[in-house]
Amino acid sequence: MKSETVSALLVLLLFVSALVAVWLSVRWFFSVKEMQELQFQQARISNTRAAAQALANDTMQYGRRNPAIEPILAEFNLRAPTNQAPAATTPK
Amino acid sequence: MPRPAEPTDRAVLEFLAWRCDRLQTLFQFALAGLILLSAALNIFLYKQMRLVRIQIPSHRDAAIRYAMEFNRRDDATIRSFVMRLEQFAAANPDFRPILDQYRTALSAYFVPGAQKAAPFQAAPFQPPAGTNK
Repeated sequence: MKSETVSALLVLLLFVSALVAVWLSVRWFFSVKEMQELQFQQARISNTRAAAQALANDTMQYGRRNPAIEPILAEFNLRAPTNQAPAATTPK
Repeated sequence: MPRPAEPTDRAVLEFLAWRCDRLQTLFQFALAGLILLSAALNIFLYKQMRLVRIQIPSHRDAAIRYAMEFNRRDDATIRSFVMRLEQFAAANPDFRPILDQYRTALSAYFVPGAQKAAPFQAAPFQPPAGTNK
């Protein structure tokens, strides 16, 4: 009889422990998901910035061949590169 | 040669009771092992969850600041820069291939249909692998 009570108690304990594990797993899952969303948002902005920077650099390179684009470069404070390496500035 | 004595009913019952006790003990040890395993798993999950949840507020603040700074400063600039470049590309078709390279990465800033209206048809841009959505 005593042995049966111990068994029942152990089963109950295991059940409670499993419930706690499920609860912790769900909370962990949603925390990681939120973290990933924040990182994804930052990465997307960084990618957009990098693409805009690359477009600005290519436009400055193009400005060496076609000076007609100079007004646009000047409007955004970009200068066509001379003989030196292209400047790494974001369009302002 | 003497034959071994047949087990009595009482002996059989005692043997079965002993086996039942042994099985019950084994079951309890198995349960205790599972509880220990489950407790270890719970501790691991709790630590992982805490680790992530501690980092979330600072990451959230940084992400909000980053996004606000981008929206306040860069977004409008990039939009008007791309718009001006599209206008320029309409008059200078040799610039269109350069602009088309960034059509995927900066799709939010390009005016839809502007490419079709342009007199020059550039070669289709092949986006890098993994950028298609």
